[in-house]
Amino acid sequence: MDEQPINEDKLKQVLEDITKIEKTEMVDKLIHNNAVEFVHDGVTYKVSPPSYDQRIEANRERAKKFTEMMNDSQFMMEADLVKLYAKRGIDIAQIDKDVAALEKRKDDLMLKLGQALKEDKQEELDVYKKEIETLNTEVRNLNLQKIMYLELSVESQVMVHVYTYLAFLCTMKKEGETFIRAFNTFDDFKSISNDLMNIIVFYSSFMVRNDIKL
Amino acid sequence: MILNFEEGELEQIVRDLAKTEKYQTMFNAKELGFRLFSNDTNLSFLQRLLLSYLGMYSSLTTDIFLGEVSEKVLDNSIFEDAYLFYKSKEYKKKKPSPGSQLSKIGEKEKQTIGQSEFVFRRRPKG
Repeated sequence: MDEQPINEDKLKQVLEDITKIEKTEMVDKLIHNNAVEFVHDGVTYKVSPPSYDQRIEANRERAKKFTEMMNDSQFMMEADLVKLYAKRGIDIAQIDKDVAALEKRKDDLMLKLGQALKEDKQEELDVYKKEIETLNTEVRNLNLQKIMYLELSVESQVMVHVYTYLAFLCTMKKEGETFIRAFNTFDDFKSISNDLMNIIVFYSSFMVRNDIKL
Repeated sequence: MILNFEEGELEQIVRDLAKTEKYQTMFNAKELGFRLFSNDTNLSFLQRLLLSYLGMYSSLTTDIFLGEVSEKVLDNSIFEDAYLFYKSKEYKKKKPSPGSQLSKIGEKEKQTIGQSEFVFRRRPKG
């Protein structure tokens, strides 16, 4: 019997579909509860959203870190980084203007598409949709570019720090029948294995987001 | 198991889940005392996201049921967002602006009600 050649594109698609199913099942499972438990090296951990007091504590930590980094000359504020990039020929303000212009065009098309849907004008729907998809990609790319340029700014670094700090605050471990705080200090948390850190940060990203704003 | 989520992928998965019959039924049954989550307070990011999409799909399905828009709107996220964007803009257009005559009449009525503390209803004819 002749062997059928493996169609790589098809195989890639099947693998992507399987991963999507796995992700959907995981999210579906995580949604029913506001806490996730997992076992690592024989210890049961639990990650849950921050309480009001924990949010206050994280906010205090945010202010502390912000002041600390502002007073350290090796870190730059977003505004200073923008000026430095301008000297090197990278115009961040222009990225903002381009995004605003694209968003405006997108809003106009969204209105037209919305009206076409309301009035059931089938022939116009896919034309608008394709144009909006193109604009979405352009906006996404520009935003990613801006994030990449500014990821070393004090503002971005403080946010990374705060969300890591929240992960530390929100992790409990099981002792007997009760859960207690998993780590006494943030330094204890930072010294854990990369494996455990990745799992905690991964799960906390489902529990905590947009909880602290600059 | 740690899975790598691309930018916006998690939001899309939650959105897709909110659109399913299972979650829509659960959402609609909440008035009968059905609980969506095992916790009632301190919602996680995922739970908050799901609730916002459940509300959005509930509004869309209501509009389809009322004949405001065809089921085609549910074909994809762009159609859904575009229709809701258009609808919100239309609503804002129809809503009287603070300086308009209609709005002034409304203000006058509010003052009258506020001063008298009574609302007189016209008796139905017949």
